[in-house]
Amino acid sequence: MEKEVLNLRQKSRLYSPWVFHAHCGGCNNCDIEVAAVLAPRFDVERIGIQLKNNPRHADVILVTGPVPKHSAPFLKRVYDQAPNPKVVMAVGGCAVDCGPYQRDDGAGNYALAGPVDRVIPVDVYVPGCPPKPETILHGAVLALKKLAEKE
Amino acid sequence: MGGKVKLLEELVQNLSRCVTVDYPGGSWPGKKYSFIVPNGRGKHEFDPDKCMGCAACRNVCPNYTINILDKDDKRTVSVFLGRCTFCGRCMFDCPEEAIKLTPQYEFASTSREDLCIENTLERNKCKNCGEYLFPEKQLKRARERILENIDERVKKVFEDDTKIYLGYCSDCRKKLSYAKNIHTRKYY
Repeated sequence: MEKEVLNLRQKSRLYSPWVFHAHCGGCNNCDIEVAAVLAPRFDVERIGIQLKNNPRHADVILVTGPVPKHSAPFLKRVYDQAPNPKVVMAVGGCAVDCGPYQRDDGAGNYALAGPVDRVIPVDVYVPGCPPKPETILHGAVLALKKLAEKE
Repeated sequence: MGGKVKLLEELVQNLSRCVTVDYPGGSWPGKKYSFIVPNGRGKHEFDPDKCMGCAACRNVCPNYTINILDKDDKRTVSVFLGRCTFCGRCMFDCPEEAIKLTPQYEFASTSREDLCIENTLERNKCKNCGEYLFPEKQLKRARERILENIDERVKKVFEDDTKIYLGYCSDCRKKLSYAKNIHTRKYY
């Protein structure tokens, strides 16, 4: 009985993963592209993905922007609040490797706590500045596969 | 009767007016996908036959995306997609048109290492001291460029000289300039 319930939970999770969108610094352009993905043209809701504004309901955490030192603890708290299993998507050049905010010698910026994977573990990287909506869709599909593995 | 046909036509139009784009319809290239921007800038692609490792793309990149590593007898040109802004300056300023931004957009990945695109070239050896120099193709192209804009009276002398001195590194060239008769002073 317990197994069946757990299976049902996993099924429903994969049928409709909920996303929490955490904006950490950045120029807001990636967030506009994320909005475009949610709009009818690149309709991400056909995979069942919905935006939720509470990390406690979320299966996927979508992070945009280089993480400034100011917002690093908040991001950590959001990550801890989300229930297991969870998947983290780093969307945009800033989230993957600090993008234009990084110095060329690799020393890093004084105001940044580094890219997202220095603060919380990242599962899916979506590069681009800003990433195309199609690329974000591809990343969402990869995130679903990761979520199925995790259980 | 005509009105009914019009009505049917409108119905078909209404059905086909769906805005949503198919996905996944198959991955690029070859397979069918319903919507690709024809000149859209996506993943980089090297043409290994044309690329000569001249580092023009590295110098022109505004975001320090492209790195060039010299290790022993090999030179690797690597693009890290995570930093790239897809501005396309490397494509426009490449003298050989070797690097291109293809409209391929499916490059999200689950690991950082997959975001690197690399091209490796073999470097030439200095004839005298055995130190590694530039790739062979780059030397060839340099020789061609030197001979392009030169006066025909001294062209033959230059041709013979370039064959000799492009094989040496800069230090050895200074040392052997008089011994091998490749000093520049003789042209004045």
